[in-house]
Amino acid sequence: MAMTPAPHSSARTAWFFILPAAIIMLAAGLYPVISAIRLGFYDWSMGTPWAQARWTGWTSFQIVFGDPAVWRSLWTTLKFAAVSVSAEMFLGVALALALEGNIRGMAFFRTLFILPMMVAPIAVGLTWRYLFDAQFGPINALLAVFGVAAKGWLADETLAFAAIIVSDIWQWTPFVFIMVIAGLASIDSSVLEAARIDGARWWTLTRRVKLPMIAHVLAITLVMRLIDAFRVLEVIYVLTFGGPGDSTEVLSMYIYKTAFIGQKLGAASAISVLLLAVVMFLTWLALRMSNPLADGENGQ
Amino acid sequence: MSAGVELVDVTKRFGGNTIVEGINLAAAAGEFIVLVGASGCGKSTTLRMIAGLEAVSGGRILIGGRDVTAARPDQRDIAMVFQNYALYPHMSVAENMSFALTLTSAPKDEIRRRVGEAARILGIEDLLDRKPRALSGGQRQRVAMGRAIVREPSVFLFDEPLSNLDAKLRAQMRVELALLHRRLGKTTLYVTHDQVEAMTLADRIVILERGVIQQIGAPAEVFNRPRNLFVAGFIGSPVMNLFEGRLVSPDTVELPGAQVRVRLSATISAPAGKAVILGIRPQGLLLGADAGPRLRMRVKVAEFLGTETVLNGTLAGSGETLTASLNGDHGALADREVELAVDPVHTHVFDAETKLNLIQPEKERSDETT
Repeated sequence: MAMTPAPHSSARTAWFFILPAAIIMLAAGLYPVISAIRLGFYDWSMGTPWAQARWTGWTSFQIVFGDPAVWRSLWTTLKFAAVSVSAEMFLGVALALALEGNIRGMAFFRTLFILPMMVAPIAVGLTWRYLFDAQFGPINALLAVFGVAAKGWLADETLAFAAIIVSDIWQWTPFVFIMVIAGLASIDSSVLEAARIDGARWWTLTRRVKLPMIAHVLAITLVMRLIDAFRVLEVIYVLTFGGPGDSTEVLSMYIYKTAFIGQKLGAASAISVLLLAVVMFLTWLALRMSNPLADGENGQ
Repeated sequence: MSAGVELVDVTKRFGGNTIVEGINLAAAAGEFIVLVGASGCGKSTTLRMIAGLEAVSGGRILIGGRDVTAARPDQRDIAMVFQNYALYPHMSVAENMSFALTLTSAPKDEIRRRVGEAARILGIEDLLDRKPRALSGGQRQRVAMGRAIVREPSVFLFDEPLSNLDAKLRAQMRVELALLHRRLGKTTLYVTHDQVEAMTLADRIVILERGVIQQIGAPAEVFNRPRNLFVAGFIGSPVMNLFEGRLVSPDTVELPGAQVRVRLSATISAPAGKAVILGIRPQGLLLGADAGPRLRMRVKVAEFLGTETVLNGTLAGSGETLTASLNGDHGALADREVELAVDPVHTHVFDAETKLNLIQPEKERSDETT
């Protein structure tokens, strides 16, 4: 006799299959976040047993939020993220639009272009540290050819800030490029042909058809880059270590210093919660503008 | 205003492959031309060349007497409706329809008037604020047509516009398209692989195979007088029965396998004994007719379609596939052997070598006799 499973039985079967993945996701994603928040309520330093950690309640949060250095580094982070991510988005989109066609040899060029993304951030930091070196760096050598005096790139507050932005742009513009070129490739070619028949030339086609059609790709790319830019550490660690002064001390650098130099893990965790809140807010904002998880804008 | 379209020796090559070879076609102003053929025959490529979406490899394209071979798509005074609708997904229906006009800086009042008029014609006034994703397939197709109408072009190009719709909606849209053409009176070039669309919509049908025009003619003409074996096999449903035979007299073909002689509706000026291919429309096979020779058919499947029954089986003696279309319900004939008379009106004879129809059209025959 044919058996028709009851609805609740099929729901239970679904849960049975989904549960392992859900548990792993929760463990891998939520647990560290909860731990970080929990740590903010304790006074604890590396090397002491966790059992000896002292409950301090909201004290760490109160101290941290009253600390001008935290807000200064948050401001530095915001500036860094705003400038670098804007430049990366602009350059990535522009390059993708320029290189999207089927021109001979373009596949090789595209592969070459995404290489920086594959380099480890520490290596990127070391490379740019050498390039920006005041005495031996090729950048100063190149400027000398044009008669420009050598500059202390990493010794000057403004130039050092520019240097970390340049290195970030160099490494992460390819990411935007890949995302956008994939987005452009997914556009139904007949829509573009319809626009050509309607009289849209390159600029109109780009501005009014192509970019709106990949808005969801741009949104997710922006979110991913913002999250990364707010967590940037390695390149700045190697390139400037937050200096000169505190000119390049982004929030994650400050968290690092508080945790591992100041040995105040509770305070560092409290600042991490602030960073988490800022990133979550920006992510929410970007997704509100164009949510790639909502029903497909591109869907015909 | 409507304008004629003329293709002069139009050729398209991709690398070493010739997709369209020296097509010559003249569509009069207001005419409805349907380009039909199997997949890969070059019909869509031809339409895309007319639209300016593909560059021609040779020849000229004229619209309204003006050479537009090198003109941009928007300079050709055409509008095109695509198979997958090609609507702008991020724009509302009204924005989709008005997009072309906004690019020409047309006055807002004029844009509103034209969009409103097109929406009224197509019955989509209630959908103007919706996005394409909130529309059904039929509604999207109407919007795509609305976008074309709003531009008030001289020529409409349709690239398999009904292929993505279900059978019922396709039939409904077919009627609407015919009415729309009658109302607007614009020159229309329409690509399809569906012969029903071709037969019902076209003033003239262009049948293509491997980039070469096989025949141009009115629907009745290509059905009743297929120029060659390809057209005979392509036009008509169910497809024409084709049997190898030989001419025994100017008006009789013998089918050696079935050992039967079939009388033709006309005489053929070819020597007796010539190898030919005899074509018989399934509608030309009659059950229970009195006179004439009979084909014996072993019926395998009898498909009752409501007003007719299609018998599928083989010709006794030769084993060749045979299809007959009989009026009424004959479902009981399945798995039986039946005798079918041949109506000479539905017979065609093709040269076994050249594949050309050996029965001359009336006009040509009368020319020969004068």
